Amino acid sequence: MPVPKSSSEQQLRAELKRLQARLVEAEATMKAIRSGNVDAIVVEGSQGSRIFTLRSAEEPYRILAERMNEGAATVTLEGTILFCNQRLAEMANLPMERLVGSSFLSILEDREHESFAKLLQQASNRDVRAEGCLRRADGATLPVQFSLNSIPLEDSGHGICLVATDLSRQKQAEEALRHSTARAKFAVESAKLGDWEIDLKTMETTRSLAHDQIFGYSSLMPEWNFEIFLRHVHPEDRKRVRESFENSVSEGKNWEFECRIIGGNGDRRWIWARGDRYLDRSTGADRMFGLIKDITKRKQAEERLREKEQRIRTLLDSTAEAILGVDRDGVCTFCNPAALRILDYQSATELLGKSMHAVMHHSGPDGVPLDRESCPLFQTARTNRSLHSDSEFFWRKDGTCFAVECWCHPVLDGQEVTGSVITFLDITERRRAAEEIRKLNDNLERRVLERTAQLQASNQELEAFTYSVSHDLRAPLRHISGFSRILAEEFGATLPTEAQHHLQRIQEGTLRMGLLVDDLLNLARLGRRDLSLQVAALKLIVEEAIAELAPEYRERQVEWKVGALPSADCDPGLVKQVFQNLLSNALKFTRPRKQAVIEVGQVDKQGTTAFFVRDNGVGFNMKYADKLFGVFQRLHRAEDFEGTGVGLATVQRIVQKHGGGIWVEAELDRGATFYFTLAPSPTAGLKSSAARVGEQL
Amino acid sequence: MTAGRVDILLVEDNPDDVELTLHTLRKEHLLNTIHVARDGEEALEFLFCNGVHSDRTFEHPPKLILLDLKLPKVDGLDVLKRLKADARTKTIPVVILTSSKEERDLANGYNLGANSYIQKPVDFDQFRRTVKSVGLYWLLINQPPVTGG
Repeated sequence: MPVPKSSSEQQLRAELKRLQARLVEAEATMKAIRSGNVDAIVVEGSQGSRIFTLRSAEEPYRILAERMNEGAATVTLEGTILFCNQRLAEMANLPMERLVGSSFLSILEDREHESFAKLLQQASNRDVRAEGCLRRADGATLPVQFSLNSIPLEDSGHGICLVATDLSRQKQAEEALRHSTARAKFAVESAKLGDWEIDLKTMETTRSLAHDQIFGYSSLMPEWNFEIFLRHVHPEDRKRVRESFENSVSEGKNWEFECRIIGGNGDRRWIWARGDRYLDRSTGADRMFGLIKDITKRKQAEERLREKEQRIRTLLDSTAEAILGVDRDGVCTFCNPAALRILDYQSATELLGKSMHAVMHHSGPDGVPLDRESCPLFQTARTNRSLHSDSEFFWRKDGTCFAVECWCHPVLDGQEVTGSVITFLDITERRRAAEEIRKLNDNLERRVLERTAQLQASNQELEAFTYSVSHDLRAPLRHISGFSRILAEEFGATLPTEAQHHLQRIQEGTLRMGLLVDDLLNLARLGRRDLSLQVAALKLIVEEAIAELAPEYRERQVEWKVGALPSADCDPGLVKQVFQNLLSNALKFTRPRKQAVIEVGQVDKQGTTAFFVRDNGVGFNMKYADKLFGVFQRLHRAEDFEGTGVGLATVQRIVQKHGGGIWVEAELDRGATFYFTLAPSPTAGLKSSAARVGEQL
Repeated sequence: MTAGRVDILLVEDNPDDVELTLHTLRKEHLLNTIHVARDGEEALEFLFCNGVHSDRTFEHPPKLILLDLKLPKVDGLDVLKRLKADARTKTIPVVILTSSKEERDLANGYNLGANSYIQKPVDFDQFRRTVKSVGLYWLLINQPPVTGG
């Protein structure tokens, strides 16, 4: 009721009075309607007052309407509420008095006004149902189901009977279901689970894509059942899986198993699956639904872990070293078979849980007790320090002790020392062997000293012998030479020619003997002389040797060809003697040649530099080559070529002292070439080349 | 025994060597006055004027000593050592004349103050030449220091 803006106080008081009267009247009317005492009401509208009568508003129906759980109302075709029950008022959160006479649209969300108007129109012809939303007075929205029926109204044609069912609980349940389904889906997908369901009566299945993907298919298989599933199970696991399934079906229990499968793409995998029985009480359906998971990686990891453990176990079991674990208090936490064997225990249970210090390290070999707290071995279980010792003694079960070498390493959990691992060996035998070796060494040393003394003695004897040869053998020679000479000179004229000839032979014999003694002494001296090595230019050495031989070739035609020669690490004095002897030989055996050609040079023989002296002399037959380097060995008659047979033996001795070898190539009447090396051949074999040449021929 | 002047003291035990040496010296006209000592002991007695040579004085030392090394009783090198250690005898030229060609002997000889070391050649011609040149050099060419004796 609009109030005029410029109303007087009197006008306002009159209006209030009128309204209060109408309220009283309306309350009385409602009371009358509810109690069935009124059959019609007058509604004031824009088109003036209209009277509605409630033809069927008989008392039992009113009571039903009042008691029912749904909201109920009778409305005009325009939506004016003629009657409503308490429940609708509660649903709208308004007093019932406010509802009756007002438009139903006023308790609807604005957006629903239009569709509700249509609904009213449709309801005049037939029964209709629809969902909608009530707007409660507190601003909340209430989902409802409307059911509208046309009813005849006395005197005023038709009205509509409207029943509103509260859907909020149903909607909440639906929402909760949707939420839990989404959660389940998320859980299944993020756990990479496949899900499946089987109708135990029809054996029909439904699966997720993830399920079939685990079996190696990229899309859902058109057909899938228990038998097809079994065909994918590894043959060795098939029987077990089938039995477990049948058991769970017959006993009505859940089904859970792990098995190997061979996928449609040939991949071998491990799966875990679980199925729960579900009896649908409403339909009587017997179903099993469940999950499947690819556990190949877990199984492989388990397998690796198992192998690792096995390896470690094998190592611990097979090692000859005793291995013990102790905690921070030195109490045994594990021990391997070697530890038991060395300490002479039968079973690990005898050691586990025992203080190992008390068991095996309680006292020294002298029986003096050792304090555990100050024991460095067991300190490693508390300090982060390793220890190695070979001077400790441990005690066996039978009360005997033995020497050990032991290692202690702290065991760390993060930064914290939680115990230590003690590894040890019985070194009694090793100590005994070491002692024996020490004795043997002492003995050996003594024997070496003895032997050295013997060698020194025999060396001295040899020296004395050489000295004696040098001094005493030469004296009589000199005398023979001297007296025969005096005889020849002072009495030669009176001697017959033949006697003179004999005297001459005596002279020559003594000279020859003198040379022999000199050469032998030289050879003997070589044997006991140490090499004095230095880098020397061989070319210079050769040139010096040639110069010193000048008296031997002064009156001959000799062509010298000295090629490039390197510097070598050698004893220059001795190497000069080698060249002197070889060059002297070359001169000697080229004497029959009008023009002697003597060549000195180097060649590469199997990676080693070999030096050679070549001549165009009389040569020799190679079948005697192996005799060439022996003392007193000669291939020529003395009257043809003089010589003591010691020269080449001396050369060989010098070359061998340098670690080298010497050999010769020659042909009778076509010269000879002597080769020698001053260092061992990298491929070996050259050292005995002289012999090798001999064998080849 | 030989109290007078002696030019050469030959210390040699081997009679053949003595004879050959004397023969050579005689042939080369170097056999002035020579005394032969047949062992090291006698050589020392001769040089130090004692023992069998106690009648000798240090006034006239020999001009040259020809010394063999391998000698009975007292070894040649010992003789050398003793006479070179004594001021009265150390200026007398000593020529070691020996069969030994041992480097050890050679080195010892020179170390002990020998003036020359000569190996007796087996060849008598060489021997003769050597004895001759040694005698000529030390007796005729060399100018000895004035001895304090």
